[in-house]
Amino acid sequence: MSEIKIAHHLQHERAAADRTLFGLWMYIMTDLLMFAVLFAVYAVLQNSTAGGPHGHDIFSLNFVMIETLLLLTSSLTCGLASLSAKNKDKKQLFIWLVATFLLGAMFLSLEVWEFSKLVNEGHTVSTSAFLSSYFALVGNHGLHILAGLIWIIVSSIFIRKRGLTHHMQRKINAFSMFWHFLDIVWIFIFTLVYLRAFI
Amino acid sequence: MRKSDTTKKQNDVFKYVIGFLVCIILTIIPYSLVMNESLTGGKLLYVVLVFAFLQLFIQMFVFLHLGREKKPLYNTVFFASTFFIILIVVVGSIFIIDHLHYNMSPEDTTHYLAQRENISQVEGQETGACSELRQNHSVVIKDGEVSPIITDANLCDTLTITNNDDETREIAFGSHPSHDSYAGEEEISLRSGKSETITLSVEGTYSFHDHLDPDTYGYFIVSE
Repeated sequence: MSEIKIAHHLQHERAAADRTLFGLWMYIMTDLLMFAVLFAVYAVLQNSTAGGPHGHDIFSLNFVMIETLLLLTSSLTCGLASLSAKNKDKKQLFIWLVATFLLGAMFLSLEVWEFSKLVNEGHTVSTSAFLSSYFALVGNHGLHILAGLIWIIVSSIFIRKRGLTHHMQRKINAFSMFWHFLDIVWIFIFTLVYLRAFI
Repeated sequence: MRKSDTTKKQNDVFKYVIGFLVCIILTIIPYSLVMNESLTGGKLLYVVLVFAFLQLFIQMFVFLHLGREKKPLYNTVFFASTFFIILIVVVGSIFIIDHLHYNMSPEDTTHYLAQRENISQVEGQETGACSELRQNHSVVIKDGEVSPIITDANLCDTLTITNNDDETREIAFGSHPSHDSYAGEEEISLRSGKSETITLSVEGTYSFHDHLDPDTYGYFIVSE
């Protein structure tokens, strides 16, 4: 009798997990739509420089390559983290979560450095339509990365306190989806903003 | 039992690492293509976009396990529909704004567009566009000097300005800083080594200079 109850319970949990992840997937799709609109705005306004600098005057492709490699690697460590969660290996999970956090934090600090350098040189968000749309698009991505970093910290605290339950596994899966999606958006920022400026 | 478990885990890790390495390669290739300038312009953009979409699909399949969920394939279907909405919104916006820009341009830009599209007559009126181009004149900017500093040309000749300096030059017409436009051409941004050709479709004497360094200037005289 109790065996059937446990199996039933697990089935409900799995269905709940599926529903949660599906809901998160829908959120990610709408977030993707928001990014797409920001991309469309950037595409239309990228040459409206109001006498100010163009992309190729202020971007450094080498710098952006480093940022890209950092984010790609963090995607790998995130994937390994979700594998560790699947295998219920708490120690490994923490190692990969910390790695993802460090790589993401390095990416974000590089981006903040890039932005402050631009502002110090006088190229601010109000200089031209090109710069407004650039800061809006790339800044929005950076904000999402920041949210992801906070997510890692909070998840780690919860896993420490409550252990690696089914709930926590689901949360790790959700975070992993979110983080991969951010890397995917970055592919297009890298291509359509930075590479595009030099074509 | 145990052994197949560990091999399965190793396989999972292996798949992630391989996916990661492929993505690295798919990033480095467009980067080197742009750096080397082996291809340029529209072609390079398409090639680079192809790589971006390739990497998108690799990441979707390897990292996000798209298509590998249990049936029905809700996630995949949702992604496909979002993708199409994005296509419509983005491509549509770019198309519409570009169209508006074309159809609502001021007079001298219309002249430039008529030139570019070879429209010599509108409603019985001559547009002043050149039906055939004649001689090309070449002007080179090096060490902040324009040579030759004065170009004597005929109507419907072309003028190619090449920037052989290290820094980017923004070629503007008229006097600094209140620029004029020439035949609809406004500022021409020339990166180091690049050149641009304009059609001399308006008569008269005109000056041009580097907006970023107005001491670099030149003249051209267009006569019938």
